[in-house]
Order: sequence, then structure tokens, then C-alpha cells
Amino acid sequence: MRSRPTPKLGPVTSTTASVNIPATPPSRPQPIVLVVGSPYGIDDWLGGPAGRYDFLFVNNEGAGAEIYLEDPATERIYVEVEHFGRGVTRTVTASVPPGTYRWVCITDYTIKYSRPVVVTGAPLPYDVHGIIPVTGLDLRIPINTYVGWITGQLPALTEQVNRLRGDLQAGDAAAAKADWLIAHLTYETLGGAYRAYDETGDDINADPPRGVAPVRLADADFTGFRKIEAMVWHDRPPATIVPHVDALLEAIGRLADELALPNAITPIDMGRRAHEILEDALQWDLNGIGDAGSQTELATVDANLTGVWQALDPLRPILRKQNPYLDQTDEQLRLTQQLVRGHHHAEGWAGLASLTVRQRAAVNAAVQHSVELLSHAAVVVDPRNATRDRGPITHD
Amino acid sequence: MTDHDTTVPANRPFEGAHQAGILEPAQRAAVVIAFLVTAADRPALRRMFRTLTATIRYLVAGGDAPAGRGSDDGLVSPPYENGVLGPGTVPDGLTVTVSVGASLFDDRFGLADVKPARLRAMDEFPNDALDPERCDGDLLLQICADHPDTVLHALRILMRATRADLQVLWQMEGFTSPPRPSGTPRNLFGFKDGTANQEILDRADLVDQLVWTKAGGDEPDWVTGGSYHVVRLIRMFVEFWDRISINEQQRIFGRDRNTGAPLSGRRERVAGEEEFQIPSYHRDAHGNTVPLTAHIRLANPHDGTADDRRMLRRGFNYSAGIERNGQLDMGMIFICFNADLDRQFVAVQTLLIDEALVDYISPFGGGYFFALPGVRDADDWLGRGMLD
Repeated sequence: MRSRPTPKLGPVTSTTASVNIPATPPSRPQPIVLVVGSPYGIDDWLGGPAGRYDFLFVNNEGAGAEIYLEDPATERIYVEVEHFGRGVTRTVTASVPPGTYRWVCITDYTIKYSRPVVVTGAPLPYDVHGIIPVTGLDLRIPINTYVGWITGQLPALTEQVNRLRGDLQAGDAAAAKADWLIAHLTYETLGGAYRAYDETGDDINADPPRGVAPVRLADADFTGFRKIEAMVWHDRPPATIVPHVDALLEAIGRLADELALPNAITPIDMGRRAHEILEDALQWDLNGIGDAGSQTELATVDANLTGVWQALDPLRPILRKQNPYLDQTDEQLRLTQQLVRGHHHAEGWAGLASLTVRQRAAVNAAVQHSVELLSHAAVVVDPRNATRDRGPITHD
Repeated sequence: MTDHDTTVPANRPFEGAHQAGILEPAQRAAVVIAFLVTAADRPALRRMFRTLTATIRYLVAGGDAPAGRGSDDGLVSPPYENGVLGPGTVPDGLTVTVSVGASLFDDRFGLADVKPARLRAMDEFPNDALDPERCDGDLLLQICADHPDTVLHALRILMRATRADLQVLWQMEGFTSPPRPSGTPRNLFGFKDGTANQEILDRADLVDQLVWTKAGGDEPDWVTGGSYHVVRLIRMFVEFWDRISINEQQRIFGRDRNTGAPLSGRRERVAGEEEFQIPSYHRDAHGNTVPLTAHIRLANPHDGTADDRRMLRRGFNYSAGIERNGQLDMGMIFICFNADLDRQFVAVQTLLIDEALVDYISPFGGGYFFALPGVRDADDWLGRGMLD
């Protein structure tokens, strides 16, 4: 072991947890050590010049805690230590603009506020956005709105799948292709990304099994829209497809039952859903995974983008106040959807494989920039503890 | 000695007349990655180059990440840093060299009039088997460092910072072998490769004449301080190679495999530095000792005609899995820097057509690029010369 110079520590009032100062690059000042556990929660740092700080938190509270640095006037927090178990240390780097703050230390049974933390100096040369913690309760209304919207689409989806069933019974393959696409795109707006709807979602829209040659997909053992697609596009006798449509209708019925359960979509899901829908489209559809013969990958991405708007809209009252990049996100999603729809022609959707390298790069770039922007919404809406009793839920 | 080589910072100056990653000895790890520019218009292209410059400056110099969305902007973003290098940044010999391809100078950005004169899509030489999906590109990053994690850390930060404007077209990771046992590192055929670099690097006038492009003639003004940056992805049939005799191997290159010494040289020989002995062919006119088709003899006959053709080589070995026939896919990312693409690389490569080595290698990708001039000061940015 090489010896290290003894680090210069901030005042430490209690050291029952061992404090191991991690090595930092020589250009950075040593971290400020904050011991959590005094009657005021934190007494070690009650202000200083505005700027960028490395904080090292020591949890001597004797319980798991959440720590926030809050501006009580705006309720915005600028530093957080989440999931901070007893007896451990955590490092956090954050910029603190000028202002008057307080440390808030929350455990299961207590909430402590520190004495005022006064940060002085000129405004920082870059924007630092505190957030008002969004609680699980805050997300109750958005969740109900979103679930209500999804549930409201299910009768139309059922009707569209029934029309597909009728086409197959009539032996009309061309109509079946058109109606399959209509129904599938409706489902692709409903946010079933990253197995959001578990087994029922798989029964409705599982990807085709990997490693099966396209010409053999129609005979492969799977279910749902993609199985029906494989059979329709590979000219299987229409009557043999009908039982798969019946199974799909049954699965859609189950989805309606499951969405009626109280925690069908949890607060954590709600914050992430818009982001995950488009990550899923990027990871799978834009890699050409999922297609079972219709080559409607870009139609799926378009439907997914509509699904992103639907998952984002119920959160707008929160995001308008909290997400400084909301306008940029909206604009990018609009441009992306416009670009994707540019590949829908009179004769139908261009297949992903028919795009030139530059066309495909443009779509990839637009979607990738969109997911970068959507990641901010997920971070802002991630459920946290409130720093005080807020009273009834409002979105004024 | 415990953590010596991971904690000693080794950062190269970022500002200067030339970019880093050209004259420095090749680091252990590298990626070359070619992009299509998807920026919507010229202002977006300008922003992309500024972002690229600021991000590279941060990566090589440390300090705070460039301000902006996602970087130290409060509690509204996922972390800017990916954590691969732990907290803080570790320079670790990192260099990021930014070069542009001919297709950037098409009609999209109004750059047609300022294209470096020799820049074009890569030539296909008679024994090449080019895969169009792994050729050319609008922009190339050559990212090198002493360890692969530093390379991949930089790659991820840079791609994320330019997400809307750059899309990967092709990439290849490479490495430099340590000296075995000393001197110039070996390629995967077991031969010392790039031995001739030292005679260029030892003389500032040769570096100036052979590496740095200059304005004037048909070259636009902004190119001064840049360099033609050639990348060739060359598969080497190492398993076939292992099945041929040592004599044939040595006659193909014209060098002794163990020492790197030319098979026929001038008298000045220094023990332990045989590889730097100057080849001499004047008593071997018919190639009885060094065949006329040997690699080093074709590339430079050492008769005074080739001095102006010499180029600075900076290649890397690669290993990229298995071919469909079960053979190892190994080879070389051939990289060289040239003041004048045609006078140097293209002239030598033309001489090498049908060299004895062609049965054992297959060039399949790469491109001609132009390494931008360096960043002069805090207000300068890569590409400003061609865009402003």
C-alpha cells in the first residue's frame, strides 16, 4: 500500500461509524463530512460559498434515512441521499446555488430539520435545478388518468381484433393484413414495454422466438399478435389462424381485468413508463426484432411514440413545474414522430430493411436523442418522501 | 508497487497547433469509430463540434464536465458520468483524435469548397475485399489510452454528448502489444511493425515535411496543422501464417522475425537495436536475399527515391472473434498520418500491389480521413477553421 496524506476533515461530532475518506483527484478539495444523527439531523455544514461540493454522509441515525438539502421557501431539494441505510457512508457531489436551506433527515418514524444552511455568493454560471419531491400519493391522479385512458382503448382494440377474426373467417387475406396492422398498432400505443403487462402482455404481443428462420416462424410455438402476423404473412390457411385470434381476444380480456386492480401501475412504473416505451422501441423494433413478416417496424415505433405522449400527458402538471427540459423533449418527440411518419407512403409503411444507411441513421439518432431527453422526466418523477405533511393532493 | 499504473495521471496537453494522438507513441488500447453526421444543418454541425471539443477537453484534462443539460444541473438528470473510471476522471494517457471524411463535404453543410484537396472515398486496391458497411464515414474518432476502460469510458461520454448528431457507421477496437522483448511492438504475425517511424520522429524537419498538411496550392487555408489520416482494417490470416515456414515468413517481410533486422543491411549495426539497421539492396539486385516482392523492399527501396513517400504509422492489432469458417478473425487496424495522401500512402500502397504478403491478408474496411488542426486556445474548437 502506498501511503496517502492524512485527509483534512470537516468537524466530526460523532464517529461511531468508521469514516473512510475515498481518494479524490488532487485538483478537488476534500469532501465535507456530514454525520447524520444529531437532534437537528445534521450540524456539520451550515453553509459556505455557492459552488460544487463533495459531501460524505455518515449515517449514525440508527435507522435507514433519506437526507435532503431543501430550500424551505420553495420546497425544492438540491442534494439527496436516498436509501441511506444505518451505519454506512455515502458520497454525493452536487452544486449548491446561493440561498438559505435546511437539511431534512427522514426516517420511518421521525423527520428532523437542521438549523439554517446559508449559502452565499453570486449565482452560479450554470443552471442548477432543485426539485420538489414527487411522492407516491402525488402520482395517484396521473396513474388513474393513465389507466383510465388505457382501459378506454380496450373496447376499440377488441373490436379491431374481432374484425380481423371476421376477415379470416371470410378467407380474406388482404383485409386480414390491413386489420391486423390496425389492431396491432392500437395495442402498441398502450405502453406494454419491458414486460409491463407480464404474462398477459406476452400472451398478447410476445416477440417471435429467436433463432427461428423467418419462413418457419408461422409454425413456431408462440402466441399473440406476432404469431398471427407470421401465419397471415406466410399464407397459412385463414381458418387455422382463427383459434390464435380467439386466444388473443381472451388475453385482452384478462388485461382489462388486471388493469382494474388497484396497483396495476405503481408510482415507480408511472414515472418511468414514457421513457421505457421508447427504450423498448429502440432496443427491439429498431434492431428489427419483433417483426414476423409484415415489415411494419416503423409503424410500431410511430405507435410507441403515441404511447409515449399518452404516458407523459398525465404527468404534465408535475413536469411543467419540475422538468426544465420538457419543452425540448416535446419538440424532439414531435420531430421524431414526423421523421418516422415520413416513411409511411401511399402503398404502406417502408420496412426497416428498405431504408438507406443514412435514413436509418437519422431515425436512430432521433429516437436516441428522444430517450436521452425522456430520461429527465423519469428522474424527476421518481417517487420520493415528502419533506413535510402536504395535506390533500392538489395540482394547482 | 500496488496500484501504480492506474493512479499516476498521464495527461497530454489538449491545446496546440496539432491534435494529440498522432505523434505520441501508440497507447495500449484504442478504438477507431466512424460516424455518419445526422446533424440537421450547419448551425447544428457547429454545435456538435463545439460539444465534441469541450467534452474531449474535459476527458483529457479532468476538472468539471462541460456545463449543460445533464451535467451538474441539479436533481433533474441521470448522472453525467458513467462511473467506469470511478469518481473523478483519470487521464490515463487518453487522446481523442477527430478527423473528417470526404462525405462531410457534400451538399448538406455547404462545405464543398473547403474540402481538403486529396480527401475522397477510400481507394479500392486490387487485392482489397472492401465491405461497404465498414468503409468511409463523415467523421472519425480515434480514441486511445493506456487501458481499455479509459477508451470505452471516453467513447460513451462522447457519444452521449453528441447523440442527435452522430451515428456510428463502423468501429474496431485495437491494442498495442508491449515490446517483446524490446523495441517496436509486434503485429499478430509476430513481426515488429512500424520500425521506420523512429527515423521520422527523431527529426522535427521530417515530421513537418511528412506529417503536417499545409495550406497552399490546391489545399484550402484551414488545413494547416492537420494531417491525412488513413485507416485500413486488414484481416490477417494468422492460422494460415502459422502453417508456413519461418524462411517464407521472413522473406515475405524482408526482416528477421526475432530481431526485426532487415535480411540485408548496411554495416552500422548496434547490438540490441538490429531492427533500426538501414536495409541495403545494392548487392541484391535480383532479390536472392530480400525478394523484390518483400514488404519492406517494395515500400522503401532505400535508393533515395522514397524519402518523400515515408509516412508516420500508428496502427493497432485487433482480435474480433471468429469467422464463419472457424478461423480466428485477427488483424491490424493500419493507421498512418500523411502530409499528402497521394504522395505518401497511396504511392506506397500502389507499390505494394501484389506484394508477397497479399495471400495472407485481406483489407476489408477503413477510410481516408483528415485529422483536423489542433485547438489553439480556450475559445478555439475543432473544425472551426472549416466552418467559420
